[in-house]
Amino acid sequence: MSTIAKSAAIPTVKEPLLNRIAFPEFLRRGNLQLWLGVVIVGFIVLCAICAPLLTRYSPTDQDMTAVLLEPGSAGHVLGTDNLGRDVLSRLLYGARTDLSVTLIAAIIPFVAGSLIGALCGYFGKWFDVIVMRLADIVTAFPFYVLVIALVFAIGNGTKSIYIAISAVSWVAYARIVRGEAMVVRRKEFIDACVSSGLPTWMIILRHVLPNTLSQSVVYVMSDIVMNVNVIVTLSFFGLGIVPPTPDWGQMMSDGQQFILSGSSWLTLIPGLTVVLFSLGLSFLGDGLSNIIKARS
Amino acid sequence: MSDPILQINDLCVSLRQHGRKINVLDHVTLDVPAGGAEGLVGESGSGKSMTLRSVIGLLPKNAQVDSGEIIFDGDNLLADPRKLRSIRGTGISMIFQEPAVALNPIMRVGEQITDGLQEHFGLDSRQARNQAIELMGQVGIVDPEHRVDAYPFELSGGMRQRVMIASAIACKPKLILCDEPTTALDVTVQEQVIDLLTSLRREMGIALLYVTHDMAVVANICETVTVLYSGQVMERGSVHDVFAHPDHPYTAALLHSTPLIDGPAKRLEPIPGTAPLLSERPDGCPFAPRCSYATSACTGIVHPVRIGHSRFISCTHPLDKEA
Repeated sequence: MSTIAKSAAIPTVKEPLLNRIAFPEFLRRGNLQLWLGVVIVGFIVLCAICAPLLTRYSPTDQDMTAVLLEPGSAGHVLGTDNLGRDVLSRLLYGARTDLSVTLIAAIIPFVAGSLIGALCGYFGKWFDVIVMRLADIVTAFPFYVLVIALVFAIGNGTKSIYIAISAVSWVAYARIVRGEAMVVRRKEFIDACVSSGLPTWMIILRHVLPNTLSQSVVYVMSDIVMNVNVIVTLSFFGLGIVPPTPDWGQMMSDGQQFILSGSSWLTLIPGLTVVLFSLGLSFLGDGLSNIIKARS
Repeated sequence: MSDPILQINDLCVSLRQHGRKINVLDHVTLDVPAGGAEGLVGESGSGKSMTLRSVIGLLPKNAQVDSGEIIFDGDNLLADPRKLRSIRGTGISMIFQEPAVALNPIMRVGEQITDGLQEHFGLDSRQARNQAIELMGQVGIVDPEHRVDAYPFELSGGMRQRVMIASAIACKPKLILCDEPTTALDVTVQEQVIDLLTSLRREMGIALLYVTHDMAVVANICETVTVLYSGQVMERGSVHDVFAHPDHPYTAALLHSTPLIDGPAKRLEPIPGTAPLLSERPDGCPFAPRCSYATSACTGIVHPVRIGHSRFISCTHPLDKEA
């Protein structure tokens, strides 16, 4: 009796989700991960956007009179590399390259995979069977092996990065959305849509897809982290982004030959930046998925 | 009586389950007069919803129409799937039992109401929004200017059903299929929705094919009624005739088992036994095993017989003749 009375007396009142603009909610809920993610990623994105304001050197200009300057040298906060290029400039402009390539390489498979998944889940039958077997084939190969092989086959350049990553990562989105779409298709509101004469493509785009996306939106965030690493790895190996376009992976691989001669910052600085950025994105993704989970 | 807007003739539908073929609709025949209201009553599993769904082509994937025709406004919908697609929404629309699941949970109700309108008449979003507000007012939603932007979960059950009705009448169809639209609502809301449907029918001349197991609702809304049992039509006729003088023992038993609030107080008589599984339906009259009038003649195949103006019955022992 007393335990019942006690639990009834202290109702666990959860703060209702008052508004759709989530910004003030983070603060009240103390979603620390999300905040850390926003701060870190926001800082890096802001630096990338404001790159020309933060440095007066071009990332590609060589200065043979100032080679391998250490960080903190006059005029070069993060030093210079073996060709006398300002490391800070290369880092900032490299962020521009890596960030935009990452983003595009995440959006293409997200859109394509979700669409394919929705079609599979909605239509089922032979279309579903063929696409899902294709997905099995793609998953059967290790991710990096397939991406590297594809970039190698297509040739260097950002375009081949987009193609390679899209060709591999659509599978995850297709699987996630397919499962959800199979559930949504059986809901009565889809019958209601059919009976009001909406064409099938419109039912899929306007009614099925939006009801299936929350999971794959969460997945996009972790996929972006993956993409950063893939792109940096590819350019580290000299695949993908073509020099002299500044990029973090290339900075690392250029710098590694000078580690033993004491110029380890050439590798460390871009390396730590990649770690920081990945960390920020992971926090952001976890924070976002917390919110989406809380809503559904 | 005016020409029928919808005629269902000898409709046979079967389900395929575990490799077996089960007849769920067996020569169902009924018609709905233009602007009229036809009730379709029967127990759970008698094929009411299946009949509605075959009209608008929403049968489950393992179901198949074996024979018969469904004639809407002169066109056989079963013979011409393209015709069927073109009349969905504009010719026939449908209202579902559970407004909670028959609305898209993440779309504003205004958009859902006018989805069909935009598709069929190419309204832009501003016109559509105004139309939605007008329609919501028409179905008795208070403060439609604000509710138009609400999501379904922000509305009560009755409101949601009104939204469903608004979207069903948006394209001014000639016939609305109602799949127990008031069953999930509480009684006061039920009454409001029934009044709304009746007034819409009068104002807009929309015919209703109304599926329910609630005899009182049929008496309230419909002019004619078809009684289904185990996928077969037991009796058809005007509501007044059928309810006041049921000829089929099943109809009579059904009425005896229903309490009447303004009728004389008497014991309810349950129908003995349970409805047969569709897979184990006896030959001949499906009601025979539970019927107190049944004789050996009932095991033969029974066809509906016309026993009066638009009055049909499929029984070898109609009650009036026995009496």
